[in-house]
Amino acid sequence: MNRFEEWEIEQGVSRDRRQAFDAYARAAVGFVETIERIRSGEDVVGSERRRDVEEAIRDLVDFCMAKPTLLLETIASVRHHERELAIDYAARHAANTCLYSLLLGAMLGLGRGELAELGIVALYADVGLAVLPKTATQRGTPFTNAERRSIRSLMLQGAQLLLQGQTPTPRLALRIVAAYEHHAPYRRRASAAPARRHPYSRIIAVADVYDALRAARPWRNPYLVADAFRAVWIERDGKFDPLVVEALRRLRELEALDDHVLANTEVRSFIRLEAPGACRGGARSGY
Amino acid sequence: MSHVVLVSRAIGGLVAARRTGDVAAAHALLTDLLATEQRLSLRLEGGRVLLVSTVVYEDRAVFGRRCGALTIDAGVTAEELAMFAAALDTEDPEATLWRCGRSRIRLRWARDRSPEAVAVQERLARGAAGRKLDTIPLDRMKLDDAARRTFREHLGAFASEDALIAHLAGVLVAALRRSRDHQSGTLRRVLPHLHQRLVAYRRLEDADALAKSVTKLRAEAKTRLARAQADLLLEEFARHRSMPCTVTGRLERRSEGTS
Repeated sequence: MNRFEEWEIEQGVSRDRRQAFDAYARAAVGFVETIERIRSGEDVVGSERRRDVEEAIRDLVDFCMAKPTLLLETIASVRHHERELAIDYAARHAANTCLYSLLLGAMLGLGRGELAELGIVALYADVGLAVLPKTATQRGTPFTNAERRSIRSLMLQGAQLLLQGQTPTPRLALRIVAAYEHHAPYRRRASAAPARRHPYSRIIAVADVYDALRAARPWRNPYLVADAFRAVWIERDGKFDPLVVEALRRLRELEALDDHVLANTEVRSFIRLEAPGACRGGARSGY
Repeated sequence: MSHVVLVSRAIGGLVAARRTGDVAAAHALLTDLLATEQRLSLRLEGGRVLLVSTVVYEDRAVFGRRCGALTIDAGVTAEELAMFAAALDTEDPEATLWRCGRSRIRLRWARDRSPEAVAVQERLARGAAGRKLDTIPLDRMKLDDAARRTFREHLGAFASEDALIAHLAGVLVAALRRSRDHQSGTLRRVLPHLHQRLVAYRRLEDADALAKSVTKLRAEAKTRLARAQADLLLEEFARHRSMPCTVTGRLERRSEGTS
């Protein structure tokens, strides 16, 4: 028995919880390594790590079906310890987006196999970040409008990176579609009919923005659950699919506990509880 | 002593032990050897030998460090073990082993065993311990039947492979329209494949829509090169439409013989 397992027993920490952390970590590692592979020009699709990531996603799906609240606890714990954990924001965001997508998908009635597919797609939805230098993803200042515009083209570049000149299989097609579509609005104009978007892209769109708002960035505090939710809610049926936002509303009732705990821990000392600018201008990505 | 030599000697001992059948004696020998090095430890679990390397590999991502736990199944040959020993000193031993296709040697990364990583995990778990949410079964969290049915219908529209490929074609053309000419090489190379498959699936309306989008793209093109590329695409699309489909849904090139 190792030191951590001994400590677990002493503290009464459940094995489930540790396994959920472990699966989360494996998913995050998988994302980072994929980005590194792309940056160094290596093959992504043939990566040996792919199996490990798929296994991690399957573990997370199992937790999602059996104990969905455990995934929320995992996200909350990682968020509260993000300074100590030294996980790159991009990896954290990818893994959180994956977990939120799994939860939203499960609430919308997706089956186990579909959730496993959705999890992988959600994890790699922001793979376009690989084209940015590390300094851009780890910078401490907000992006200018021009930079934001160029970053929006990442969805195109993400699609190209996933393709890498190969003929797309249905599975790869799904990943490319989600990488491209998840930043696109549900309706192009208020009066227009909903654009034809894959349902996975609609789930990931909500998960992606909600997590970005809930995350602390060097230039802004994290949004509280209520503020982040409100920012998404006002864009329902415009930028986001109302069905998915409805699922998020239920999730929010559970996550609201998060703020309460946040207010009663030492974390409060470095997080102001009011997010400046919350809800003004609606939701937009943290990048 | 280098790590490779050390592991090789340890493995040599294991192989000898298997040959003579005296596992206990070999275990004692190895324990002596390994104790001096302080870097490897050995455990016998059931019929398997668990060799735990405390040599720490830098983890490029999450918890900083990790070490490997090696499980050697019975019947592993000396050559396989030697290959493992060599793999351990590569930058990514796990990946090397995957490439070698060693099914009887498994290296499981036991993450977070370094003191720093354990400390992080403790903090993580302690944070979670104080903030436990009530366990709510998924059935109580799900949306109502009508909402789930609606979402299922949306998903059903993309369930078949041909529908997904048709959607991808639309997405890529939209991507192409947003891109600058020098960024679009990858997408341009893929479009003919997609068009070909749409024709083969007999989704002719989607194939025509793709051709129309490329025609529009040609009209919007600002450079001669972009226009020429669009023309090439359209020529290829026209060829696909003139090819007969085989029973299996593949296109047959009359002139070249294969699709």
